[in-house]
Amino acid sequence: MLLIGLIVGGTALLSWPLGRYMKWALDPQAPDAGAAGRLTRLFTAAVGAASRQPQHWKQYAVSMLVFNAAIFVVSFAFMALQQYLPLNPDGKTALEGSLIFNTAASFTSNTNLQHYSGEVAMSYLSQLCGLMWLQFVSAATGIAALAALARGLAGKPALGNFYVDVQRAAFLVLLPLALLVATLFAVGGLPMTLQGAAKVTTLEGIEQVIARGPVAAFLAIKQLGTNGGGFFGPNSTHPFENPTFWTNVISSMAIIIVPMACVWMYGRIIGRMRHAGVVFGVMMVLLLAKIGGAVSFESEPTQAFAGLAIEQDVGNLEGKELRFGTAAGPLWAVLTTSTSNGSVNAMHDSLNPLTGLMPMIGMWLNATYGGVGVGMINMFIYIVIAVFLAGMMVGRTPEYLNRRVEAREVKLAVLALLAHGFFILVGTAVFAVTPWGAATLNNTGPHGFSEILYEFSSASANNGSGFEGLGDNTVPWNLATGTVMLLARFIPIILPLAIAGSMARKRATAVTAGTLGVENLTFGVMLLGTILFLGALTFFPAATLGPIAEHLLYMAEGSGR
Amino acid sequence: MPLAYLLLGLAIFALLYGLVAVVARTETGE
Repeated sequence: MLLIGLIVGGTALLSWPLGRYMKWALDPQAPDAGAAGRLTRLFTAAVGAASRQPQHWKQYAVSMLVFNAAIFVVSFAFMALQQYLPLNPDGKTALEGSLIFNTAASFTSNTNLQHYSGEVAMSYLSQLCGLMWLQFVSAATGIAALAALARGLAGKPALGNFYVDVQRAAFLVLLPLALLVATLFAVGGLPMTLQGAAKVTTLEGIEQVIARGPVAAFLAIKQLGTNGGGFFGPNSTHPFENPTFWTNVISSMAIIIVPMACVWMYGRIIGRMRHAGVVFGVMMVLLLAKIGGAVSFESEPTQAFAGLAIEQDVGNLEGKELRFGTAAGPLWAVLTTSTSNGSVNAMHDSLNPLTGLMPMIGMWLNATYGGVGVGMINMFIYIVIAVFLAGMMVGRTPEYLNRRVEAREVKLAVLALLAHGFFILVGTAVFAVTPWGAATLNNTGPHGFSEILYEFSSASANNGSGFEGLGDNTVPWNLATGTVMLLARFIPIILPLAIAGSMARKRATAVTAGTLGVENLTFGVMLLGTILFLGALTFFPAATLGPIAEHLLYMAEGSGR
Repeated sequence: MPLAYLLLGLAIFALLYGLVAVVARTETGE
C-alpha cells in the first residue's frame, strides 16, 4: 500500500506543477513576448515558412502525417543500413525487411512493440538515432496534438502550428525531464557508455560477453514518453535497465507523470480546471480499481506451483523480479498498460489469469491517463459520447464547453472508438483461426487466445508490451501489428482534431439552468459509466474466451494450460 | 534495402491522408 501510495499519489501531486509548466511551454499566454516569444521565434526559424502560419485542423493533421511519414522513413533507413553506418562496435547487420517495417511503425507510433532484442539486433546508432530519437518526437507529436485539440475546444479555429508545437513539446518538456531522469538513472547504477559489449572471464574461466551501452539516456525517454521500448530484450526486468528498488520507483513515476500532467495542461488551455479535475478523478478511480484488482489477484499462488512442496501463501512469484518487492510486478503491469507505455518489470505471461486481464483492460480503455497527449485525446472521445448520451437522456441538444455537439461530431467520435475495437477484435479473430497466429503460440486453449488478444490490444493501444510466450517475429505478425500500430495511432488523433475544428467554428451557447455541467460529480459518474459500458460491451466477449475462461478452468480442473 | 516494406509504410500514411481529406469534405462550414 505504501509503495502504491508513494508512486501513484506522489506522481499525482507532481503532475500539477508539471501541467502548469506544460501549459506555459505549449500554449504561452503571450507567444510573441518575453521568453516564450524568443523560443517561438527560434522554433519558427528552425523550420522556416512551414511554421509561420497558424493551421486549421486539416492543415495541422496533414503536417502531422507528413512529419511522421518522414521520421518513419529516416528510422527505416537507419535500421536497413546500420551495417554501413558508424557507432556499430559489435558489427550488427541489417534486420529482415518486415521486422524493420514493424519496428519503424512501432517507434513512429509511440508503441515500441519489439519483435527483436535490442542488444542482439541494433547498433548503437540505430538505438540512439533510429529509435531513441523517435521516442522523443513521437511523444512530442501526442502532446502537440492534445494542445491543438484543446485550443480548438477553447474556440480558436486556428489550432496552432504543428511544427512549432512538436518542437515545444520535445525541447521544452521532454528533453529537460529526460535529462533529469537520465541523471537519476545513471546515479542509480544504469550503464551510460558508447563502448561495445564487455568481454569478461568468469570465475569458472569461461569467456562471457555482457551487452551494455547508453542505457540511462535511452531509459529516461522510454518511460517519460510512454514509449516503453527497452534497450535490452528483457526490458525493465534486466538488471542494467532497472537494478534496484529505487530505480523501479523512479521508473514507475516517470511512466505516469506526463500523461497525468497532460490532463492539467488540457484543463488550463480550455480554461476549465474544475472540469480537468473531474476527468483526472475519473481516470484515477479506474486506475486504482485496476491496481487493486491486479495486486489482489496476484496475491494468489500460481496454478503452475499447485501441489509443489513450496510456500503457497506468498502470492504468484513466477516471472517476478524479487528485488523490487512482490507488489511491484502487478503495479507496474497496470501502470504501463494504462498509460500506453508498455515497458515491463515482470513476465506478463506468468500473471494469474485475472491479473492478466487488468493490463488488457488498461489497453482496451486506453484513456486511464493513457499515452502522452493521446490519453487525454482518447478521454475526449469518451466525453463527446457521454455528453451525447446525457443530452439524449434529458432531451436537450448535447453541449460541451458551451458548444453544441451534433451528429457529425458524435459520428466522428464513435468512428474513432470503433476503430480501436475493430483492430483488436478482428485482428485477434483472424490470427486465432489461422496458422499466422495459432502456429506461433507457446500455450494452447484460453491462455494461447490471451496471447493473441494481448498482442493486438498492445498494438492497437500503441502500448508495446507483450504477453510473450508468442513467437511474434514472423512476417504475418510483423505486417499485421505494424499496420495496426500506424492506423490505430493516427485515426484517433485525426478524428478528434476534426471534431475540435468543427466545434471551434460554432457559436458559443449561453449557459442556462438546463446546460449540462461538466465540472461536477454527476458528470464524473456519467463519464465513468460511459467508459465502463462501452468498454464492457466491446471487449467482454473476448475477455470471456481468454483470461476469464482460463480462470474458470483453473477453478474447475486445477490447470487450464 | 527492403523497399517494398518501406512503400507499404508510406501507403498507410497515404491512406491516413485520404481519411483527412474525406473527413474535411464532410465539413458543412457552419
